[in-house]
Amino acid sequence: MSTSKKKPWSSYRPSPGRKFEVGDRVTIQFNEAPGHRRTPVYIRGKTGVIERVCGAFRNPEERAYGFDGLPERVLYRVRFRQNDVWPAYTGAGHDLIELEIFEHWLIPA
Amino acid sequence: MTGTYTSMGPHDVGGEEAGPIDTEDHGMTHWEKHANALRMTAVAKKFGTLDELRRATEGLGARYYEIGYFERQTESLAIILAEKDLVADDALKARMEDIAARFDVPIIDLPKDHDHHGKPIKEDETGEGPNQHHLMNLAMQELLQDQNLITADDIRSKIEKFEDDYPNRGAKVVAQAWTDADFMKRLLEDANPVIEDMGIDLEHASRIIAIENTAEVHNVIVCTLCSCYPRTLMGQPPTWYKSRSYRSRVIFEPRAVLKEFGTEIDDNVVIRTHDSNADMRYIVIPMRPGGTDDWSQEQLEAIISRDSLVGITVLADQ
Repeated sequence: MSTSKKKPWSSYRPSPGRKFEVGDRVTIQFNEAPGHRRTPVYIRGKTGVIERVCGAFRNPEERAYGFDGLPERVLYRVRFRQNDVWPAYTGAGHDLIELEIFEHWLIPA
Repeated sequence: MTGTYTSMGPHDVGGEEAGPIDTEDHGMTHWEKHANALRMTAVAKKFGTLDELRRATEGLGARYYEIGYFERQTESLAIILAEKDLVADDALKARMEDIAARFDVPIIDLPKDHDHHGKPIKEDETGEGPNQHHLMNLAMQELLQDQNLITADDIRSKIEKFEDDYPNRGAKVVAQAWTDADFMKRLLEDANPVIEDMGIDLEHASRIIAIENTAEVHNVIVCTLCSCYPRTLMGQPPTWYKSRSYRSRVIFEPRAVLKEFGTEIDDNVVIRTHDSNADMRYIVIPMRPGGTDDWSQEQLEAIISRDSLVGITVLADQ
């Protein structure tokens, strides 16, 4: 299997034309359209900061139904303060939570 | 947690109130290992995408709650193989019956009082024969083999890798990182090429992000939507990682959850919880315990627990 390995092989993918950069503040869309989504409901409507850019990936919302998932969508890691996500958060004020969110779910904040 | 909690479906549990976590790993039975290997092989061979399998699982409705994790995985695979015209429902049912019959052992040379009430004895390790979901997986496997789409060896070797190979890889990476500062730096920057350069083949199945625990930051990993985990790097996740209670709670009360595992993190330390919800997979590099300065890599590997690689435990000083 290792003979079929493509080099260079990175954890990340290129993301030409992306809209956001590390440090940008973004709000996750509050959208309840049905279907397969990788954006959990608990994070919708919350505001955080881009932690890193993962790169462009096929869109799971299309792939789940047998489509090719193209064009690819840029995936980011977004960092949130726990206090901003859970108003009743009982842990330390500096605690963080991070998720992977596709670009079409992000609104500049 | 919010009081007005809604979710996408039975799988989207992050933030739900839930009870205590069963912190014991219950391992996997043979049929579960087989189910897992068949599913991984089906995805690797592109019979369907992981997203399609997830969508099928999420669409099980009330049944999602009635059956267990590997039962759901089995039924979602059957749904997708039917959609793709690879395994038709009626062919699946017929083959399940054929296979069940093969497990019937004729009663010969048994004492008279041992007649099993006229029922045939089922030959397997429990004496009760394979369960319906194992039959379903065996039938799917045979029907795919009949079309020369997979071989029995594909499944057998997958089960073996999950037993003997994948579970040992994470500790090797951590021990290397502890003993080689340049390796650690490159690992944190871009993990896949660094791990693959060690001779570990991730089989294009995992895009790894390595995150380091320090005196200031403690990282914890969860997947609230399903059970994302770097399987080709760390093997099968422990039972609790897939449990509803862990997945619901660790994102909004990580400190309370860690305490249930006996892990106390000081309030001065930032807890960074990572919901592994899309394409990336995570390995936590735990802090190297004190008293191990002159240890060999093999000695270090031996004390690196699976739970520490998702940040649910810390490694004790030696």
